[in-house]
Amino acid sequence: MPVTGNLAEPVRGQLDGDGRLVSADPPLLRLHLHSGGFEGGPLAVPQLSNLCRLSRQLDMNLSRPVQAADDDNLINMWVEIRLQSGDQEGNIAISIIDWKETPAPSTQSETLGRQRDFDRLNGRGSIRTDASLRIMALSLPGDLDAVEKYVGQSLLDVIDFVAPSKQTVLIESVSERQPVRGQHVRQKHGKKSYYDLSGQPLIDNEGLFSGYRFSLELDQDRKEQEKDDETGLGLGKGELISDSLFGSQLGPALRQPLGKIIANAETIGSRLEGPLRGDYSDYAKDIASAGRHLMDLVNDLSDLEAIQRTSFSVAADDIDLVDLAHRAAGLLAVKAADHQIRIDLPDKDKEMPVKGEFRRVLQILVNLIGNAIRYSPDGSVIKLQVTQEGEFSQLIVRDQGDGIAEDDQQRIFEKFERLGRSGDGGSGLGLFISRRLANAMDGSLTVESAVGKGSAFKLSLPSRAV
Amino acid sequence: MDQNPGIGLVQQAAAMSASSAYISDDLAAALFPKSDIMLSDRMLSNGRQYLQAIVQEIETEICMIAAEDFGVTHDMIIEIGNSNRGHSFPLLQNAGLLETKALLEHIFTSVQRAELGSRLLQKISQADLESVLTRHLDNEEGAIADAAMALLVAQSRDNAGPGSIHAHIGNLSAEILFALAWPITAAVQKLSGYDGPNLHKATEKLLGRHDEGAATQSRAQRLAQLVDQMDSGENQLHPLHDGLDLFLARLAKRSGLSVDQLILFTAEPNMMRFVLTMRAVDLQTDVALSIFGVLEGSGQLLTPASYNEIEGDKATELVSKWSSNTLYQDAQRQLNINLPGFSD
Repeated sequence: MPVTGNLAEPVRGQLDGDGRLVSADPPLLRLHLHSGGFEGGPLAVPQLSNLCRLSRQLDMNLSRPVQAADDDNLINMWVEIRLQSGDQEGNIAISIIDWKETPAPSTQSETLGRQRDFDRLNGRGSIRTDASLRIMALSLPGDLDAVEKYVGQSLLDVIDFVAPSKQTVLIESVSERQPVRGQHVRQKHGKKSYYDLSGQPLIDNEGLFSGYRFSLELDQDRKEQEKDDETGLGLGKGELISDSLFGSQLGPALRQPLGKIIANAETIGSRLEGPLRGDYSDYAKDIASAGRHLMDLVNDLSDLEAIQRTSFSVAADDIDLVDLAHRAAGLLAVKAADHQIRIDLPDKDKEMPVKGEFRRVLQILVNLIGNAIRYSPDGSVIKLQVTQEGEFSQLIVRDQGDGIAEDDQQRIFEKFERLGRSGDGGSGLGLFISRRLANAMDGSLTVESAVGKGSAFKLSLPSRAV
Repeated sequence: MDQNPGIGLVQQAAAMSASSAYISDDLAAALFPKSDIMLSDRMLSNGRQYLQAIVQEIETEICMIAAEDFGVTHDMIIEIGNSNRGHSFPLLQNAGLLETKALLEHIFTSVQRAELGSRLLQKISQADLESVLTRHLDNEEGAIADAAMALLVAQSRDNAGPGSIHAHIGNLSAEILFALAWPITAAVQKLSGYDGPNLHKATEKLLGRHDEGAATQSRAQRLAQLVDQMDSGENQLHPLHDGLDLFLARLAKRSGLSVDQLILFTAEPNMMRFVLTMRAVDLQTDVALSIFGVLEGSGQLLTPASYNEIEGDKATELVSKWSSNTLYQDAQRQLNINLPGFSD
């Protein structure tokens, strides 16, 4: 809600001959202090001090609109600068007749943070480089050493290209400011892991090229192959398929072409390469959307296989349920807004420290909130609450949907159980996987619901002492 | 004894030789214009008249203040103060003091604004245009009603008929008035031969009492700031709905560009940057087409397909680039002048 100043009373301030703010009404003083000024010091709000300087330089009074930022607010002002005469000669009176504060629009950094969450959810690493491909920031899952070693180095100094990919392809794409897709690379030093590298050029607010943002997806296929080569105990082809069908074989084999289909369909749909008839662009978007559904299914099946393996284990990171709830809700904010659904989150200052794997808990929460959005009526509210019971902390996702009959409440956690629903993009695996993941982290996932009264999914994880 | 006619001719011939030395400059400017903007004869004539009128108004004002407030009794000063003819203009013109970039851009903006005003009046009558503004007079928020009243008063002062510009000191920004007042003072001093300090004081007084907040554009800006904060659905952006000044001020506020930039965009071929700006602030297709139809003067058409083809993100990106510091933009353009592919 916009904050309105008292329109009848202007906000006033006074500068002495040396440009020091000698008196100011509370809103102006607050802005001055927030801009780094101190009481009785030089006026620190750049927009206002520039106007005062101009006024003094021209020896003229000025009346102009001014916009200033204060914390998360934008302040629109109508400022009148009046040069004083007589006793007050040399002083400047500032009178702000319209003072209106409105929340500032979201900034790009939030979008980048959100993109990083997406990458972490998908187990991807990311690298941000400047225009000369020097690494400015990076995160590689499971390789903390890389962060301090790589920042400041050129991307080309820390990775090798693995055939059929070539370094020249990357260089060409960068020189033409084009996106980079599906390059196979390997770390030169450290863990020497294999990755699939993709990247998007970044354009800053001035419209200029400012570097790249790369995603790195661990190339499991090559890792497995390498392990086999190293030990010399390679399994027969047939055994591999029966042992790990999706994780090592079909998953990567499907993901790569699907990724290409989605990326190309999105490029066509968004007409990046040139104009296109409207309906063709819509078809392309349909293809991309269907591709994403298939990709989700492949991911679910890979997860399903992973959690059923006896060797499956999860990391015990120090995480915070409130923080994760905010991140998960952020990832689904656009989807919720499409349905005018409000996600009511616990206070950000609250803390609920627990043990669990960051990425997996985020995965569970995205699944729970995603389901809640999918099965809630438009315009409803999804409420996320945190509680503590004994040694466990809980996060409850409560929706205002149709609810689940008591007989069905256990069935929904079974594999491929859709309760007769179809065509809504679900695979019937999400809750099954989420519960298995919660159990693997020594926690649980339960539901309380009644028909017509919405559902409440409760994720419990072991609490952690801070 | 008759005056020797030869002296006049000799003087004229000498002046001619001095002026003819600049023929190549004039021809170059006409043959090789550096901008894509077509300046019609009417705009040039309007611009010259406007500048003459402003210079005359300022010199008259300075001389009157000098005579009335500071007791200057010099004949020439009093004559200039009471005259309805410009005196310092030829002097300033010959000395090249009226050729500053800021002043010329101001003149261009003023004549183009008058062009837009006359195009608007082909679609709606002056009376209707005023009545659309009166709706803000009933606004329950006092500040809006006040600002609307102030704008109406300023506009009624400016009404000089379609296509022509009413030159009024009150409509000048502080910088432009400052940039004109001091050269004019020097010119008046030279013309009159008066060398007392009071002419200076008169100019200082003129500048000191100038209230740029009373300018029409300034009042429109204030109303735009207040109206857009109300954010109600009925506040549709359209020159037929807001009048030219308020429309431009509102569009400027939303896009982050200045009103002068928007006016410049309307003079460019096909109003391309203006169309992009409308796309960047997400104006609906039918509204944008209608605005284009009202403001475009050369019979060009904007089709829904070409408007919708503009990518919103790209438009926003470019508009944000144009709204950055102009010195920076100029410098960037000059640095990239020989590097193809580094333009907008």
